[in-house]
Amino acid sequence: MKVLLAEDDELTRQGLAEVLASEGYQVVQAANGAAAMEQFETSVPDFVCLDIMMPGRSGYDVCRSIRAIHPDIPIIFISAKSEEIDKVVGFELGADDFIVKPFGVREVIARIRAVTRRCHVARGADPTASFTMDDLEIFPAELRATRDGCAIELSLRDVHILELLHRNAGRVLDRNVIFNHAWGEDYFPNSRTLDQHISQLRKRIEADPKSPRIIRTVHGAGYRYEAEQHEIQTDRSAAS
Amino acid sequence: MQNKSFILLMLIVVLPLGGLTWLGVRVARDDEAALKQRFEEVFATQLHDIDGVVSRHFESTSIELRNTARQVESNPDSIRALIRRTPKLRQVLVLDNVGSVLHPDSNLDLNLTEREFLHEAQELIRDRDLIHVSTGQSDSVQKKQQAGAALPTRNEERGSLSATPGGADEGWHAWYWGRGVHLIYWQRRSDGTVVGLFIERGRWMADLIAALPETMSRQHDGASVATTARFRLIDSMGQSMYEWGEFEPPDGSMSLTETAVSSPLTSWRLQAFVPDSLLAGARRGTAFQLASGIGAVAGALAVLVTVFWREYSREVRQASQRVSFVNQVSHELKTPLTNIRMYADLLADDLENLEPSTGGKSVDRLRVIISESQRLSRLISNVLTFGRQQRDALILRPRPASPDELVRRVVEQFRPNLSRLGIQTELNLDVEQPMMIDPDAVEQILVNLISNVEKYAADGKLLKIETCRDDSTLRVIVSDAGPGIPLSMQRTVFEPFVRVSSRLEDAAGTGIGLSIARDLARLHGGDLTMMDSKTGARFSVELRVSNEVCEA
Repeated sequence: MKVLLAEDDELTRQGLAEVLASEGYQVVQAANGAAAMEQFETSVPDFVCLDIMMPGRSGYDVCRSIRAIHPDIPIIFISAKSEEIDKVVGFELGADDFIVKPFGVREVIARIRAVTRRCHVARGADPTASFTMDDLEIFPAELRATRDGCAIELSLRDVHILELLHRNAGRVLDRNVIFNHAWGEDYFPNSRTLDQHISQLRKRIEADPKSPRIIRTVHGAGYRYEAEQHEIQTDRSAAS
Repeated sequence: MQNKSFILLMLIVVLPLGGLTWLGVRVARDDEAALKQRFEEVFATQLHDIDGVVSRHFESTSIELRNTARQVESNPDSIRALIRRTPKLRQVLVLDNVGSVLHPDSNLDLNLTEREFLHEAQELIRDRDLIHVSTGQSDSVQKKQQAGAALPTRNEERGSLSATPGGADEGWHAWYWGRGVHLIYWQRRSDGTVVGLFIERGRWMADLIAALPETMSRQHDGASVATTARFRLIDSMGQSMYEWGEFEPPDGSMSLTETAVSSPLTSWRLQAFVPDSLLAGARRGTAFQLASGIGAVAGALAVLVTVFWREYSREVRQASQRVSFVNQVSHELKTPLTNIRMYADLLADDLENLEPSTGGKSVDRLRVIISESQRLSRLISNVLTFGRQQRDALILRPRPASPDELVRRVVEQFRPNLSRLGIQTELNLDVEQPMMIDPDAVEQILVNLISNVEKYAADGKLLKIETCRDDSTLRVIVSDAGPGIPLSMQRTVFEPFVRVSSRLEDAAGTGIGLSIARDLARLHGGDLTMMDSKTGARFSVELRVSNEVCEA
């Protein structure tokens, strides 16, 4: 999923880009309104994060231009303007969400995930479609998994990794394969990055992160999802 | 706002101008009346002067006739010779002291004119008019008018040159016969006989007219000056006898003023006609003065208003610049704050990932950075809310929210600082169900109350929050065990910039928190009040909420 991020403050832009990238999005950056429009036309993003007060063309202006080309693309305003009227104007111009600065990283993540879910649904994905890994039921369009009725929030990257492992159940997946799938080809592979991410993910989805049952480490090779137990169960139920 | 001031300023201009115009019109009308009166006075004086000319004329005539009367003898022939010698004289009447005619004596041989005269004057003689006049008994004079003669305007037809009533020995008498007035100069002699000199009518009229002014009057230096007005001498029949002056009054026009001619022609009148243009000219003069006066005042007002307007709009501009400056600065502060907050978050995540065992202390320090940046952003949002409050732009956006959840979340925000200060929190929450409140506003109220506890009542080591609901009223009570607020301050502590201690070295604070919190509570139809408390401060937030509660 590609995100266009337009923000004139370089540090804020880089930080947000990092947050978005860590969530599994491919980020296209723009430092001003004009650049944002150029990037929008050349890179065709899936959704857009816009600062309002930017040099040259303002976020409002860019939002209108984007809406004229693409009426459905989700747009999130990220702005220090926090007056009610600013938000109203933003929503009137067709924004899907409004994040007020200063924000916490967790708030941004939650809102980005919400927009991504809406994106998936808007593209025809069934929010109730799911697949099962061990005792975990994963709803990819919803960026969510459930275990015993408890909801676990997942990032887009988490879903990508889990989808890949599930599709190749029983097979050992090389780190580079996972990396290319979940981070993208042009991302410089770093085995540490992947390992860290897997360890974080395990903490959230594994019943016991110390002895993982969903993402198992294959030393020297990569990772593997063992569907045996589950498949045996399904086979059994099919036989009986 | 601007429109309102503009209308006000317009009123400041329009109202006085309207009043001024009204006043001007009134003044103009009064002026016109006064002007007319002045004109009348001027022309009345002129008419009086003309009347003086008439009087003097008859006076000098009477002096001339005095000698003539003295020459009258009893001899009819000498009288006839006197009449022949004096062209002015038409006939002479001599009466004895009881009114019997001594001359012309009808017993004697009379000529034709004498006989005609006796016929004409028979009534005058019979009624002894001249005897009455000369002895001062003139009460019945007025009935001596011939039928067909116009009524004289005055009863008194007698003129006396001598001021002694009843004792005059010479004078004029007007005698109506035919269709006109005839003048008689009479003289009473010492022997009681009365001599009446009947003046040739055409003659005395011509002499009178000759004595009156002309249209073109000659000045002392020889230049001739035209009389602009028109003067008329009206006889007893109402006919114009003589008139002069350049102005030709249209038929039937009214005279500006008129006056009766003094004796002996008391039934005659003098009239003055003034062209309208003369009055209008004078009126135009006042109108111009008035217009220029109003114009000057209007100009002055316009200048005044312009000055005030510019001053006012400059002040408005400066005020809005100040407000927008505060807003601008607050927004500018948000950019670095955003980065501090975000990078601290990111760093905390990194540390947790990298050094789960040893990163603990660093993560704690980062939490301080994060909570301080949160505090800074709360301060900024207080300043912005205060700006909105000052602009009357505080608006609520109520939506269903669980008050208890809100309280827990706010307390969680403060948790690191509260535990660092050793403040125990005691939550007594009883309103889990969502209510229609503005969670941002309620959060701001709570944040302000809790940060007060954190700032001023940390010594009490206690923060207690209770929530309860009574029908449509949500009540949140925030209490502490700190030093409390002195009784004298309890009323003013909600005012902006009021702090219990203003000493700089004391705990920080901007002094707007409680003011904002109370306004936000009042916007909810409730209030923020201080409650009696034995220890510490105890604040009660009451929010009135519409009864229909959406199930979120």
